[in-house]
Amino acid sequence: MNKKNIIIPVSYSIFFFMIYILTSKEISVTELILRLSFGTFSNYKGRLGEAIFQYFLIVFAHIIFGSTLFKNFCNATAYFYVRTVNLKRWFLGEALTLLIDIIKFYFINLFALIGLCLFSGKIHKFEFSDILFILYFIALYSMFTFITCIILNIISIYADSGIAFMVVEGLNTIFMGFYLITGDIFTTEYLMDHSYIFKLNPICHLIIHIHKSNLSIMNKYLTYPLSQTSLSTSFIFLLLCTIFILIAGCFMIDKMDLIGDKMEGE
Amino acid sequence: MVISLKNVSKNIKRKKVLDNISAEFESGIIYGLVGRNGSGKTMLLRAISGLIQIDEGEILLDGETSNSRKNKTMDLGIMIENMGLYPELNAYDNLNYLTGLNKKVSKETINKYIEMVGLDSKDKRPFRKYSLGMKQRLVFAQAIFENPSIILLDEPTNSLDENGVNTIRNIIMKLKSKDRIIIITSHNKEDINILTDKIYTISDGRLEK
Repeated sequence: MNKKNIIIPVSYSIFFFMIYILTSKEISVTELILRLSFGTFSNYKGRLGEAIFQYFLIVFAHIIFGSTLFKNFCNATAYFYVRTVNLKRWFLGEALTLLIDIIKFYFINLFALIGLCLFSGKIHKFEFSDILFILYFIALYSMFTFITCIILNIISIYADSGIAFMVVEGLNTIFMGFYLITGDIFTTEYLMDHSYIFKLNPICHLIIHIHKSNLSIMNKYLTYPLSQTSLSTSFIFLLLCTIFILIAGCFMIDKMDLIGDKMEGE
Repeated sequence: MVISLKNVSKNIKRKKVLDNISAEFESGIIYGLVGRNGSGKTMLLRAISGLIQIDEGEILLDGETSNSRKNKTMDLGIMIENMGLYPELNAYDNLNYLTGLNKKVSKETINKYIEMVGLDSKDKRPFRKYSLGMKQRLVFAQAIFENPSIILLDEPTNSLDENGVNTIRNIIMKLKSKDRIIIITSHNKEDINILTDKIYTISDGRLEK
């Protein structure tokens, strides 16, 4: 595993610990995850800066993983292709490696943070709900990052890596801003009838504390008023998006003229 | 074995990079492709290997269409100028990954070819940390280590020191056989004179013998 894939999530954990945990007397793993998943603030206007800081964990993942397929496509893919007709197979293999690396990234991030809390004596007890929240955190963040990284890589292959980063980070910032601007709506009964506003905003699926759960041991920590979307709904939504992006990626890569215009030297 | 190009054309961004090319390449002969930068040499190798889809004409291997992605029949090794291997993998892992697609070659053979081109098969450094010359040697090894019957080499001696040039030239001479087609592009006149039996000149996408 590349050193930066360890150093970056661990560094983020240290910064997060110093800013958001150090002053707490005691914290549980569940509370830690709720804070780590955009939970240090409520959805009020003017909190974009804080949201951006927490979004930086995903940006770091994008920097590390957002061009790996693109680089391999520009380099070794020609040598892969002359050995097999199946570029879909190449894409799926690369995507699987990417997904595993992203899961490792969030595991390292989360366990570094838990380690810091244990080391500083801030965690005193563990509950079964902690495991469930850990699994949901890893699953939701890994799938979201995987989807955005695949989009980054495909746009890079078809257009340019600079354009890819502008499009993906720009859209995510807009979604984040939309969540913050409309935040007050989510605390009223308006949400009861218009939960699609929440469900269609991909960033909202990452904000664990505004969800609900069918399990009472989790639900007691999810106290957001009038929340209509369960964690399992967000899991299924992101899982469907992951499957869709994999299928779309397979077809788009297969149609690509290998070593086309922008890589053309002679 | 014969590769036949019949009226092959390819446009990129409205520019004709291959213009109505017809030629035959027979086994047992080493062909040289010469021409100035941007003349279409590399593009022709890419078209033969099926890496790009041609717009007009056809490419036949022993009379059968071979340039369709869905109808791949060629046993082919290629090296392309300025195109590296997987940056995070070392020499052995790169070749092992590529051969794993068809499970053609043993571990011993991979190591033999890495050593043959003058690299250390036990070197664990990733490809991105190699010097230009080492990268060139490994990409060359990649093109030949599965013993393909068609070998396409784009500037095989670029970035190499004198020792490296001699190593690569000797290997190419040994690869010449009656069952194999080898096509080389080079700016190096010495390479072309020493290695090739027939020379094609390519200019503005058009081929002249």
